[in-house]
Amino acid sequence: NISSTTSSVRPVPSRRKWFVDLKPSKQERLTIAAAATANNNDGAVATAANDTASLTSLGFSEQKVADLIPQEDDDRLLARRSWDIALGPLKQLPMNMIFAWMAGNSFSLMSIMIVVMLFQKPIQTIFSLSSAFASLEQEGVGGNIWLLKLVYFLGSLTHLALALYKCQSMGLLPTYNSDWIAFADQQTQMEVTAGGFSYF
Amino acid sequence: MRWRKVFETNEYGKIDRIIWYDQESVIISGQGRRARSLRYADGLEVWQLAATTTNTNSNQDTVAKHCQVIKNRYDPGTIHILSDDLLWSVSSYGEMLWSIEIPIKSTLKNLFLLSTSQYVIVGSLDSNSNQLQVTYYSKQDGQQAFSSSLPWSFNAKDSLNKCSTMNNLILCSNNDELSIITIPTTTDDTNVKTRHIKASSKIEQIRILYESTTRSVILIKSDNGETKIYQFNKKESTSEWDFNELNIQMKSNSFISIATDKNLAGQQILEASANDQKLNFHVSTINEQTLTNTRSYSVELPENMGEIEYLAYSVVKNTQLVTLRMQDGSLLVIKLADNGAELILHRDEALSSIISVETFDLSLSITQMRIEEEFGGTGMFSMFTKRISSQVSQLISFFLRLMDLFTHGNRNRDYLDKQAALVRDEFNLNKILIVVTSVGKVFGILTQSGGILWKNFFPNFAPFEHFNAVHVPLFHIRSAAHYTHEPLASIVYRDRNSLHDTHIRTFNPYTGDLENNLTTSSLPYHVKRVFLSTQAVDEFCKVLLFVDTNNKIHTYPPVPLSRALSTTIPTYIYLFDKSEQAFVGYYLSIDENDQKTSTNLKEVWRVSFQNEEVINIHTRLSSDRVHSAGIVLGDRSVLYKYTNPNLIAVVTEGIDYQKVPFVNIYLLDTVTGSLKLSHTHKRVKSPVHIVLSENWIVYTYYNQRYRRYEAVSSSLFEGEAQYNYSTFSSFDPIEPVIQSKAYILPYGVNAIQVTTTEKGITSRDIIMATPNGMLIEIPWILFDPRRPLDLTPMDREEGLIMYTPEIMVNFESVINYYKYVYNIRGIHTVATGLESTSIVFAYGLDLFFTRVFPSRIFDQLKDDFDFMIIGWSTVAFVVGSFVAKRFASIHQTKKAWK
Repeated sequence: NISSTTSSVRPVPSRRKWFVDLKPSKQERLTIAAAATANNNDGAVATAANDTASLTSLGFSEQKVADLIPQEDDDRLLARRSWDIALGPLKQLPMNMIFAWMAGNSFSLMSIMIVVMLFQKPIQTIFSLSSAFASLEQEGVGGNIWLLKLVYFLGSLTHLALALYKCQSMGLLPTYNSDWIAFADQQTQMEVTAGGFSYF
Repeated sequence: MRWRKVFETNEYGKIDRIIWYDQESVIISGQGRRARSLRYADGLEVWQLAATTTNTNSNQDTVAKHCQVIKNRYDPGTIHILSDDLLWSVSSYGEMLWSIEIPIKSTLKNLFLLSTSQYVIVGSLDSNSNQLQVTYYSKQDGQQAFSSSLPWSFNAKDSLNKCSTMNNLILCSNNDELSIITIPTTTDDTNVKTRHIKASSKIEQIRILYESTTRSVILIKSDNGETKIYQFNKKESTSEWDFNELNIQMKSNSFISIATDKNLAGQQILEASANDQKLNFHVSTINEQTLTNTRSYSVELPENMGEIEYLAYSVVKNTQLVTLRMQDGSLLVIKLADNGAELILHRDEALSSIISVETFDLSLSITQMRIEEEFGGTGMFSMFTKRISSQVSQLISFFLRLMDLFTHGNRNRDYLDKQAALVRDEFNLNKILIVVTSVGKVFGILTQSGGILWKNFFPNFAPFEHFNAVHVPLFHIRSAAHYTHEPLASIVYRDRNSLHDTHIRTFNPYTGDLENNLTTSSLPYHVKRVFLSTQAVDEFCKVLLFVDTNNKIHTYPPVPLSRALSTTIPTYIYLFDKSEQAFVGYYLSIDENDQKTSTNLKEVWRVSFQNEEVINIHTRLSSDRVHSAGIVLGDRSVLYKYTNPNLIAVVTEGIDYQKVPFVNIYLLDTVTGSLKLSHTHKRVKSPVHIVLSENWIVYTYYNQRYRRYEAVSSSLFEGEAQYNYSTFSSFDPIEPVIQSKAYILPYGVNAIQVTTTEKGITSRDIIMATPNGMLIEIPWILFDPRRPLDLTPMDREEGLIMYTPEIMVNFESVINYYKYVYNIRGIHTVATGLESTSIVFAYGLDLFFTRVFPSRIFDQLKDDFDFMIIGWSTVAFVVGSFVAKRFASIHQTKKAWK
C-alpha cells in the first residue's frame, strides 16, 4: 500500500517558480505511518481520506476564508507613513546639531564642509517637497496633505536656521560695521587748502 | 672712477683747504680742527689728526670761526693751521709738531697767518686801538719769540674779505687801491713797508695765482671788468718784493690759471673763457716781464654749460690738462695737444645737488592710443565705423610692419629700441624722472636704465630758500593722461641777480623742449608763494596761482579765477611768515560769474609762535590715498580714522626758561587754524624728519640725553562712530583721539619717506636713509602707536605686535644691499599701475632707484612661475577628459548588454 502521497511546498532558495515534491520527507512519512497505524482499525475510510488529500492541489481549501484585513487599518497605516515623511526633516535636526557642534568654530576643511552640508540638505529637501509626497498623492491621500507639506517645509527651515546660526557663530555673516568698511566711499572734501612758507 | 671718500656731513666734513703733495694730499677740514691725508693711489686715509683743544666752550658755535691754513714755502713738508685761537703745525707724514693756544681776548681777533723759514707769524687785529698785532712764533716748537704792532685801518670783517696773504706780504684792497704790506721776517728788521697799486675802479677780487719763495703772481679784478696780473719777485737777501704788471689782454669773463713744471723754463699761464657752447684757451709762457709763445685752443662743448666757475691748469708728464668746473656743475677735463684741444672727461656733478623731483608717466604706445580712440566715439553708428576703420588700419599697419621687417631687417633697430623705451609698459612701472638741481640744471632721467634723456641749463637760476634748505617749485601742468596733448611741467625760480624777479619755465618732460607760450621772466608782482590750480582750464592744462606780497592772488597764464579754482568748494590759503613767526590763513571767495584774474585774500586766522622758532613745515604727499576709513578691531568693531587732508606738521625749536633745548611738533589744520596735536620733546636736537600720511605721523629726532635717534609715531582717530560718513569738513566738531608711542632707532636718519601706491590698499612701509649709506624699508606696523604693552587675544586677532621700544632692523630690509648711498637729502616715492608696487627714488650725493613691495607681490605671478607646467597640464587634462569620456561610454554600453 504505497498509494498515499503527500506534497508540501517548501521555501526553496532557487529561482524555480514552482515544484511539487513527490517524495515525502521523513517526517511526513512518520506522520503518515502513525496515522496509518491509528487508522488500521477503520481501514478503508482512512485510505479514502488520504487519497482525497493527495489529489487536491496545493493551497486548496474547501472552506471559504474570510477577509481578515479591514479597511480602517489601511488608512491608519497610510497616515502613519505620511506623518513619517512629513516629520523626517525634524527628526534629523538633533543629528545635525551634534554635527555642527562637533565641527567647532574654527576654519578648517571639515567645518566648512559641514557648513556647506547644513545649507545643502534643507535646500535639497525643500526642492524635493513635491516628489516626497508624490507616492502619497497617488494613493489618494487628499485633505490634510497641505498640512503635511507645511510641516515638512517648516522642518527644513529649522535646518536652515541651524545653518545660519552656525555661520553666525563662525563669524561668516556680515553683521558688523567692520564687514562693510571696505565698501565705504572716500569722504568728499568740503574745503581745499594750499600754501606753505612765503618766499619773501 | 677709482675711489671716492665721503666726508662727514657735519662741520668736520667741510674742507678748508687741500694741500697737494706728490703721493698724497693733506686735507684740512672742520674749521682747521681736523687734518687728514689721503693717498692718491688707493684713496686710503693714511693718517688723521685732530686739534687738541682744552677749552670746550659751547658759545664757540655761535661765533663765526675763522681758519687759515698755509704750507710753509721754505719747508714744504710743514703745514701751519690757525683756527681762531688755536695755532698748530703738522708735518706731511702725519706728525703733530706742536700746538699752542693763543690767549683769547674779546677785542683781539686772529686774522692772518704767514710763515718764514724760522717763524710762524700771526697777525691779530686789536679792535680797540685799531692796530695789527704781529706775533712771531718759532717754527720748531711754537714758542712765542717776539711781537710788534702796526697801524691798521680796516675792521675785522673787511680784513677777512678783502685781504689775502702771500709769503710775508698782506695784500688788501681798499676801493680802487691795493695796499701791499710787507711784514719783516727777522728780528733785526722791524720796519713795515706799505706800497700801493692803483686800479682803474673798485677792486672786486684779489687772487693769488702762483706762490713760491722767490716769485709770485697775483690777479686783480676790478668791478668794471678790467683784470690785471702782477708778478712779484723777491729782492735778493731782503724780505722785500719787486712787482711789475704783465701785459696780458684779457676778456672780462676769462679765468686764469698757472702751471709750473720742472721741465719748463718758467710758468705757463692759461687764460680760459666760455662763449656759448665754446671754450677758448690761450696758453703763454711767462718770461720775466713779457709773455711769449702764445697759443690758442678752442673746444666745442656738447651743451650749454654757462660760465667757468673754477679753472685749474696743470702739466703732467708733458701733457697739458685743464680741469674746469662750469656754472652748471659739470666737471670737464680738457687735454691740450699740438693738434688742438680735446674734451676727455665730462661729468654732470650737478646730479648730486638735486632739490626737486617729479615723475611723469611715459606716453601711451600707438596701439594703446588706437584702443583709446577705438572706444572713444559717441553714438552707435560712429562707434561702429570707428571700430571698423581702426581695425582695418591696424591690419594694414601690421602688414606694412611685416614688409618692413623683411625688406630692411634690423637696420633701424637702435632707433626703435629708443622709441620703445619711451613708451609706457603694461603696468606703468617705468617712468620719467624730472629733477631740478640747485645750480639750475634740469634733467630728464629714464627710470628703467637711469640714462639721462635730456638736460636743460637755465643760467640765471636761483632757488627759493626754505628754512635751511633750498626749494624749487616743480608742477605737473598737464599730465600724461591726455594722450592727444603732450604733457607739460613747469618750474618757478628766482633770478640770480635780482632776487625779486620770478621766472617761469614750462617744458615737455619727454624732450625738455621749452613751451614758449607758458614761459615768462617778467611777472608784474613779487611772488610770495606759488601753487597749482585745482581745475584744468584750457586743453587740460592747469594754471599757476601766485600770491604776491600785497596778498593778492594772480593766475598765470591770466585766466578768470572762477575757472582755475572750484566755485563750489571754498579754497583756503595759508602762508608762513618767517619774520613774524606766524601762520596766516586766508579765505578765497570766488563768484561763479566773476571774470577777474586776480583778487584779494581775506585773512581768517593767525597762529603765531612765541619763544620758539619754526624750523620746518611738512605737508603730506599730494598722491596720498586713504583706502579704508577705519581699523577693524579684534571684536569686529571699527575704530574710525581721523583723516584730515588739511593737516600740516610744524616743527619748532627753542630753549625754555631752564635753558633746556626743546623741540615741538604740531599738527595744524590749515582751514581753521586749530592745532590737532602738539608734542614737546626736551633735550632733543633737530633735524626732525617727518612723514605725514593717512591719519598718522611719524617723526625722528636725536635725543641728546640718551644719545640716540628716536622716532615717535602718532595716530589720530575719530572713535567708534563716524561723524559724517560721506563728507569731511575741518569745521566738523570732531575731537580726534590721539595715540602715540616712541621707538628707538638703530641708526641715524638722513631722510624719511613713506611708500605710495595707487589706491592705498597696500600696507605702508617707511623708507629711511641712514648716514652709513643704507636705505632701510621698515613696515609701518612696527611704528604702529597701537602696539600694546601686553598682548591680549583681541590684539592678536587684530594682528598687532607687542610693544618693544627698539625697532629691530634685519639686513634683509636694506633695499640697496651693498650699494651704499651717502648724504641722502630726500626720498621720492611714486605709485605704479600695480597696486603692490611703489617706486622709490633716493637722492643726495648719490642717486638710487628701486621698486618696493610693502605687502609682497600679491597681484603678480612670481618670477619662477612655471607657465609650461600649467599650460601642458591643462592640455593634458582636456585631452584626458575626452579620452575618459569615450571609455566611460563604452563601459556603459557593455554593461547594458549584460
